[in-house]
Amino acid sequence: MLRYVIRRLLLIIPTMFFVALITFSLAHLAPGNPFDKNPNRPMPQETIDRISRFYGVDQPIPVQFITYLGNILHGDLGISFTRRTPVVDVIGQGIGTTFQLGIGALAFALAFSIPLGIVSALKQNTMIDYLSMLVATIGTTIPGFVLAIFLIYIFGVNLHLLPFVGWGSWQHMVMPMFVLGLGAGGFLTRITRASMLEAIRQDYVRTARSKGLQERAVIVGHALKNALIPIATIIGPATAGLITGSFIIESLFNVPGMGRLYVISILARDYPIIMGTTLLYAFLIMIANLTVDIVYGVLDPRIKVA
Amino acid sequence: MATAVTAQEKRTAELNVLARKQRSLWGDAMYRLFRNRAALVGLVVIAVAALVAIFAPVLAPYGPLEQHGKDGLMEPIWTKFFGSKYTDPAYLLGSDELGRDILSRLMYSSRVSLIIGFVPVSIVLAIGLTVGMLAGYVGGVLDDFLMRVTDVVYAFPDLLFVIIIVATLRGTGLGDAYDGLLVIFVGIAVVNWVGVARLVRGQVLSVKNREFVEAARAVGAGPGRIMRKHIFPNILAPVIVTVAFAIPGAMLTESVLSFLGIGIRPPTPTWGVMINEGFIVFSTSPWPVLLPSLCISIVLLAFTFVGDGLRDALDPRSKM
Amino acid sequence: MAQQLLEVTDLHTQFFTRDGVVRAVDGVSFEVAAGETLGIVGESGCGKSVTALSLMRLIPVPPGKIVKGTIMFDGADVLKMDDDEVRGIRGNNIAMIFQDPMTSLNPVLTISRQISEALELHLKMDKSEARKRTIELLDLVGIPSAKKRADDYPHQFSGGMRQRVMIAMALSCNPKLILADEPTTALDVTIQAQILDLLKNLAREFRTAFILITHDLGVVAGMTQRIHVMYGGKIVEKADTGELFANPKMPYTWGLLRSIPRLDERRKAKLVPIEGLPPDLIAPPPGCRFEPRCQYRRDICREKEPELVHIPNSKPDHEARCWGTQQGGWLVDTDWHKEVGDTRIIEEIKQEVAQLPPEPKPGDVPPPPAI
Repeated sequence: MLRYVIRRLLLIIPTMFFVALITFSLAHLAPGNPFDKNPNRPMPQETIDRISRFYGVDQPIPVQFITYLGNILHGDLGISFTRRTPVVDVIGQGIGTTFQLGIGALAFALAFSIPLGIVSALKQNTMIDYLSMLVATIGTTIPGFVLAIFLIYIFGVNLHLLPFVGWGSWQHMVMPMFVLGLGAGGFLTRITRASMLEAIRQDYVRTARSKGLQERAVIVGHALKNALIPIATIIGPATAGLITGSFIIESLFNVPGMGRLYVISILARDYPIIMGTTLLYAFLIMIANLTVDIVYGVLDPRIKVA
Repeated sequence: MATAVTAQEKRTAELNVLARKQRSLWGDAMYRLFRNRAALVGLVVIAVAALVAIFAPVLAPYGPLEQHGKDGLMEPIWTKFFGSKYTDPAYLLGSDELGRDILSRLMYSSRVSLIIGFVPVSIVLAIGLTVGMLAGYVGGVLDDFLMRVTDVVYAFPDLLFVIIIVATLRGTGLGDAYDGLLVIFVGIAVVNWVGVARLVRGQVLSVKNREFVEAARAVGAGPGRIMRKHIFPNILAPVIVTVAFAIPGAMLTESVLSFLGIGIRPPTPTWGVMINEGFIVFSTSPWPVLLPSLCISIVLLAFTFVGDGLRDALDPRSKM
Repeated sequence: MAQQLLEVTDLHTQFFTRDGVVRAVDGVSFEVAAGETLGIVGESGCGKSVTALSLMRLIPVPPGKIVKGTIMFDGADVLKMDDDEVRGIRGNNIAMIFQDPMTSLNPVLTISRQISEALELHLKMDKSEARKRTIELLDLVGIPSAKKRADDYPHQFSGGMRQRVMIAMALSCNPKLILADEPTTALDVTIQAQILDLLKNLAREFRTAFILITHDLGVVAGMTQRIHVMYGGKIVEKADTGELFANPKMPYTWGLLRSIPRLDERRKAKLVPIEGLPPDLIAPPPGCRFEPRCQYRRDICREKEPELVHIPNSKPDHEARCWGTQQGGWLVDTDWHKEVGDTRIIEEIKQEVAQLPPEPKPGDVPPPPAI
């Protein structure tokens, strides 16, 4: 098990290398640089040279890339073009908020999706099933920002119940967490329902019934225990999805997190931040995938990760 | 218990048996699809949207870019019953801050959405099928290459990957071609083809050693023929389902990009662009934002219903 | 006649599908005495498994439903019990061994957990008692080093070993009746014999009544006291095991016997398959259900369904459902070993089958999506 984890952790390195290479290349393919903000008033050449030296962009591109990689190993992601502060600090300011939002959304998603999925499977093709599948479909299909627009219109603009700009109080958190959680929750509801339907059709459930167990014991002790395996494995990517997918919601509700920062940096072409954030996101996703495989090995006795 | 039965009754019973046994599997799938009410509603909505898109120049009361400066921010006519003073029967759904007719803009927007839905997905399908079938059937270097590429692409959050591509290419010739449409095609294709290729590869691997392929090989069918005639029809069902969900996925990507201001260039109308443009005045006049939001929701839901219906129809065992 | 443990009368179990009502079990009556072993034999799809599941009310509802009949077990009608009473019987008084030991055990629970569960439930044992008993049971069914293996998961056992676990599970609460549904079908031939031996010895030792359900007459031959042959949802012949093999009275049984290899036969006796397809249980043949495949058929077979009645020239409790072998029928004196019936009818049946629409080609089968 330990060896497997170590091998998987080592595999992250080449993948991260390619992620860095791709983002770096794209950033250098892109037109413009931090100094041509105002074409009518060009900077004096010595200023450009000075700034170029400061950012290291006077070096050949391969050298820049290697320097960049070397710096990453020291936890240095470069300096933001627009803020003139280290990227690590800028990201550090937003990451807490983003995690707060993501974890809150995940808690909300889990709280409604798993019971809903189970009930839906047990009452297949009834009104309850259709209703919860409709909720799940709306959650997965309608984009978060569109959902947020409707919510802002109803609860913010019309009813004045909830603030829709900023972050801090619990009232600020309600709508962003709800919108973000509904998408992930809709997906989890469908997974739960599907794996529960799969489980209750299995022969071993019939065996459990033939022992005379209460229906509750059959469902919880036998069917759910099997159905939880695919559900648990999806929670990892779902968390990664919530954290990396929060950028639109953060921008919309003006939440000072990593996602909003990312969008601002994209609009401002602040490549050091774009690259740093992308690498961080990619790292989170790979860790999430690795966690899935480990959780899978723990939950399912048939899987022997060696 | 023993009952006399006429010859005719027996004949009817026999006919019933024949009728049941003859239904082909694809026919069965179509039957299940059309019996699915949600999928049927979805198909109708998509058909209507397609007609509106095709006949937008005929149907729309105004041009999409036509400005009526003094008639800015009209509200939809039904708000008149709720006391709105700013309605005008000339603008059924009202107008935006530049006095452009919202109904006309919504109609023209459906064109972009449908193009975004179908063009990049066709590219994705063509590349994904080819690479996936070759990787699965031939294997070797191509297969290794595909798996490595997938690892890297899967490490990116997919929407963010499209955003990086589109955002960095802005300002280049590619980025500005066709109001930014081309670069969105490229972004969606680059990010999504690996998913299809990997799916196809897995399916091919599971099919290629089945008996009927062995049988075809035994009678001397070449690899090309085996792939086209024997493997392809058997991997089609999951590919169809994936494509059915890729279409709304592509539309969603465009609307997010345009909403963030890095997608289609204004003033070309798309639902995402309309939301982006109207958002500044959202708290005072919400209609220019609400109406395109509603359009996106309805069309995406329609595609999802059809996708769900297709999946249930093609694989009745899967209930996801 | 001894006091009956189980008395099934006119059982009808149906499945309501899109294509129509499947009459899986269509008026089945039989009884089992305490300690007796009964074989139910028939092709797949003849309703034998559904009969077994009906006895424990394990038919999935919907689409299935027991529409008619009584199942008297130990003096009480299982079909009139409420859910709690039925659960009190399941695993406790009636236990079941299923066909496929690979899928019938829960993959995420240990073997000991799965056996102790019933012990704790029905015999009110505490955890350590149940565990002790579980290990005894595993020992009894021949699991080597049972103590060590009790905490293993099903996937760590071979097919034969898993079926032994299933048997241990079925025996755990000393049931009065065990239903074994094709207990050896999924196993290798060499293992089959071991498992059958085990079942036979345990049945004797525990004095448990057994219903052994199989498609293979060879399996029941040495195991059971009586055999019921089922076809198309009905019992078509009932007899003592010896009597059934020596003096079968129904062309379907003849067909079954002709299609099993026997070592005690003359060398030239060759295996003869039963031509044609099993009946469609949504629209069954109006007369005798076997008529479309029977090479001895006459017009009456198509027009009227025969009753299950005593047959002349046989033991008193031998019954069959056939116009030909009944009193005054044209098959009363037929020796099934010698007279294979009208060969022209055999050709006709072959042709009818050939005219049926072809089975879908494998190339048309959409495989399940990997999503």
